[in-house]
Order: sequence, then structure tokens, then C-alpha cells
Amino acid sequence: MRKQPEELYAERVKRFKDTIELKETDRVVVAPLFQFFPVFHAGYTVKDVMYDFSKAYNAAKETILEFDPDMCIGPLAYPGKALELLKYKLLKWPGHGVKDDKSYQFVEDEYMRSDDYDHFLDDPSDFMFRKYLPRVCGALEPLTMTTSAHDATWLGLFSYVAMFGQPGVINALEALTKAGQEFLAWYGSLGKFNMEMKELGYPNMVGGFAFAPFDVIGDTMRGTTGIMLDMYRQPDKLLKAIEKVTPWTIETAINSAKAAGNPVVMFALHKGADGFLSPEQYETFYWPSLKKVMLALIDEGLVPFIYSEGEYTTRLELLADVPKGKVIYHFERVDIYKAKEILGGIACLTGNVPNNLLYTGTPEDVKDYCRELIDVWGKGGGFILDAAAVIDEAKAENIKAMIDFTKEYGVYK
Amino acid sequence: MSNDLIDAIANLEEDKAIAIVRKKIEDGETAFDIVEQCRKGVEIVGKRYSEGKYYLSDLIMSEAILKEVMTIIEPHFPKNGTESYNGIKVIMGTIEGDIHDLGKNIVTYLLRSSGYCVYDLGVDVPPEKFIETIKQTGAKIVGVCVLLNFCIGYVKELVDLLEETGLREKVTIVVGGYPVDEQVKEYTGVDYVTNDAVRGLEIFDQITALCGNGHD
Repeated sequence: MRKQPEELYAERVKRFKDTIELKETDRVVVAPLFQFFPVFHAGYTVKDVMYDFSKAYNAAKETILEFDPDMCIGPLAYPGKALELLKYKLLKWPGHGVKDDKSYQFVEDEYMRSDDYDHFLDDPSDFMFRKYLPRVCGALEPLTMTTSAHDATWLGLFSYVAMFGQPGVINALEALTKAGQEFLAWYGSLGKFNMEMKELGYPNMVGGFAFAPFDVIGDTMRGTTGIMLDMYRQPDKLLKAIEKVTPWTIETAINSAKAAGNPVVMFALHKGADGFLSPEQYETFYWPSLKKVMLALIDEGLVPFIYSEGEYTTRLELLADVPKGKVIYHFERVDIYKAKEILGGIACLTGNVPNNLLYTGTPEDVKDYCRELIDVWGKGGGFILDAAAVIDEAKAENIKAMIDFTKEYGVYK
Repeated sequence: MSNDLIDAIANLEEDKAIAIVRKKIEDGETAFDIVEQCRKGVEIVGKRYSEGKYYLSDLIMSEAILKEVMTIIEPHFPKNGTESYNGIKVIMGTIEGDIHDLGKNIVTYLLRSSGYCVYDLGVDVPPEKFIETIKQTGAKIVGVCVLLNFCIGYVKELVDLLEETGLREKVTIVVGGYPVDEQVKEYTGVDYVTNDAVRGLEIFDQITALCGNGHD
């Protein structure tokens, strides 16, 4: 008899949980993290789904129902209207610098300047409100005309509030409230998606999102060049800033997982990849705070899902220094044998099926690659099969081959 | 020539490198000699990177040191009216789609310290921008930097555009960058290719000797 969705849901959650805890299950979990594949597969453009949540929603849902993986992922299309209202500068998106059918492009810059550390360390919220937000959102530029709230006592409150009556500031606040409504609607749509997918039997792979403290400073504040130079020119201030954002990262991670009702928190790692930092720099600036965040999450009963981008082979020994059966490590590029040797029995492994293979290869190529990965990483459990990076362009028959083959070949006897 | 500046740059010692440069200027070393030592230091950084001894962070730091040092040397580059200033106009830029600027910067510094008048268009420069600058400045030499293979097509586009606008015969194009070779030269139709900064400078001097035009 065909299984009911609730039965399938419970079965999938158990398989996923047991896999993270490194117990041998009935078979390997297959959970491709889709980004724009569902969109292209449905015949939409990126622009279509960024400006119409229902299209993003339906495309994501249809792909899961058609290909039937073990876990689902919500539609990862950011709300275009909200970004427009904010005149958001961190991304280029369709209609704003990239073609309609292309994914976003990240616009790096020193949104926090090298001499902003003191302000940031001294009064971070004031720095964010009056300097950072005006720099990353064109519509919020007038917030530079406001004064610091620490002056807002007694008569100071009058002059503080008066700043909000300026026409430019009024416009900025209007943009903020309108964009806020857009984001709320977007989050609402994501929440509804999770509920419906649960009813259909598919657990979401990811609950919350957060970033490694080094990347918090490096990705959208100081930029790659800025943070790299800070390691040489002002290492103490950089370390203080990392220390400052670490508890916030923990808080964000816990809150986002709680809001989603799902313990898995995804951390996309960027600037700690092999070749970016020397081993000493990684051990000094990158790893200690990330590890602290991971341990805090584990203490809360949450699961850090560490999604490394780029090559990560030289960092494996450090990654092994975590409690057993509590962490998922996703690799884009890594020596798969070394990864299993060092992390097997410690953490659940996933990722690594090359996205270009899914795009240019044949179903047979895909099966061959998955076979080897299942043989190596699947041995003894603790393995989730997924592509190396979030999936945009890929042949449908290759996605089908990846999922069906894992279900068939990945069975533990 | 002592190795102190070369070593300071190769070892990413910013304060030391700056102090040495100031001393050398005081002692009357020519801007060109100092730039040439900086180039050698940066070359060692590149070598250590390709050997896996240095990382992206080190490359970025070496570039920052180079920029710092150049702000100190630049006022000492040959000036208009002095003997070592040849005033020959060169347009430099990294081609569209490519944002690598280290190689272009090094060649630009070498040229300026040799007395050339360089119009640096920066990175990600569309072919049209080169054309526009040729028309505005009357420069007869164009240096194009390219590091990404898939950007070589834009170099060809630049050559085609020069043909279309009737400017091709009037300018000499030198392309520099890691992926360029004779095949690229043939494919794009440019005049010279090189992946060595010093050789690049020799080419510019050679063109100048041959044509001897395009200066103030």
C-alpha cells in the first residue's frame, strides 16, 4: 500500500536525523539543495520569481514533487520589490545589472571602512544605523542626517527626534516600512511553503541561516581586500570585531532555527577556503569563533550545517575538533578520501557532486560519480548526497539520475 | 643594487619597505630603479604564491604595499620639461570583463618612471572606452591587460572596432597577461603580446624608437 504523507515525513525525518547522528540507516539520504533549477525547469526566469512569490513557490514545490528527493528546500529567490525599495547595493539582480535569466551577482565593497572599527566596536548599533545601512541601501542614505540616540535624554530627545522630521529622513523611513511589508510577505510565503511541504511529506533541509563571524565582517562589511589587509595592518581590532559579532551570530542562528521550527542552521563559508588564508591565519582569525558558534548551537540542541564554498581539504583536521554526530559538513571541493578518513565517525558528510557535471554530463556520468561518492562517503553511514553547490543550471535527466540512483544504489545491506 | 627593498616587499614588511623607499629617494636613486626593485619583490610574491607558500591574503597585502610605496615614489617620476621625460602617450587598461589590475599597475608604474605619459583607464574597460581615449588624447600606443581567457574575445573586439573607426593603422597595440601567447596574437590581430612586465617595457621602448611619435 502506498505510504501516507505523514508516514513518509516521519520516515524522512528519522532517516535524516539518524544520518546526522552517524547511525546506519536503510539507505543514503539524497537532498539536493536547489536554488534556481526549479525556476528554469518550470520555464520561468529569475526575474519572474523575484517579483512573484507564487511563481517561486510553485516552481520549488513542483520540482520536489516531480523528482521526489528526501528533503526539500524553500524557494531561494530574494524579493525583488523589497530590494528595489531599499535601493539595495550588495547585489545585482535581474533588471538591476544582470539579465533576466541570470542569478544574482554580489557587489563587494568596503561598506565598513578601515577607520570605522572604533565606531563599530564602541557603539555597533549606532554604526549600523547611521553609517552601514546608508551605505548598503541607497534609499536609507538620509539616515546619515540623524544623530546618535545616546544624546536622546531630556532636551536632547527633542533635538534627536527633530532629525526624523527632515524630508530626506521621512523618505528613508517610508522606504523602510514599505520594504518591511514586502519582506514580511516574503517570509510568510516561505513559512507557508514549509507547512505545505510538510503536509506533502517533505521535511525542509534547512531551518535557519547564519554566517561565520569572520565572514560577517569580511563578506558584506570590510570586503575581501579590506579584511585581508586588516589581518596585517590592524589584527587586534579585527579580532575584537570578530569577538563582538560572535554572540550575535549565535543569537541569530538560534532565533532563525526557532522561528522555522527546524534545528538545522546553515552556514555558508566564504573566506576561509584553501588558498585564501594561510593555515596560521585560518587558525587565528577564522576557526576559533566559528567553532565557538558551532558548540553554542550544539548546546542548544541545534545542528550546524557547515556549507563550505571552494576547496577545503587543508582545513579537515581542524573541522574534526567537534562533538561526534552533531554536525553536517558540506563540501564543494575536497579530497573525498581524506575527508572520510578524517571526519568519518565524527560528522555527517555531504556535497561534492560537481554542478558542471549536472549541467554538461550525461545521466551515466552522474551515476558514476555518485557511485564512487556513495562507496567512499556512504560507507558506515553519515552521508547525504547533494551537489557541490546550490543547483541553478542542470539537465533534468541528470537530477533525476542523481536522486533515483542514490535511492537504488545507496541502500545499506 | 641592494636587495633590501626587494626582500621587504617579498616578505610583506610594509613599514620597512616604506622606510627603505624614503631613504632611497633621499639618497638620489632614480624612480625607475626603485620601481624595478618593487617589481622584483612582487615577482617573488607571485612565485611564492604559485609554489603554495603564499595565499590570496598575501597577494592582496603585497598589492597594497606596492600602492603605498608608489604614492611615495610618484612625485619623483620624470616630469614634463625634464630630460628623462619623453612624454610619449600610452593608454593602459584591463579589458572588459576582467578586473585584474596588478600586472597593469606594475607596467604603468614602470612606464611612468621611465618618463612615459600614461592614461590609466583602470579595469573592466570596454573597447569603446579605449577608442574614445585614443581620439581624445591622440595616443599611438595602447597597452591592454587580460588575465581571464574568456575575456580575450573583447581584445579582438577592440581590434575590430579600431579597424571600423579607421584607427587601426595609427596605433600599436600591446597585450600583456598570463594567458597570452602567439596564438592569441594571431587570433586577436594585435601587434605585440607578452607575459613579462620588463619585456613589456622593452616593447614600448622599441615601438617608440621605431615610430617616435605620439608625444607632447
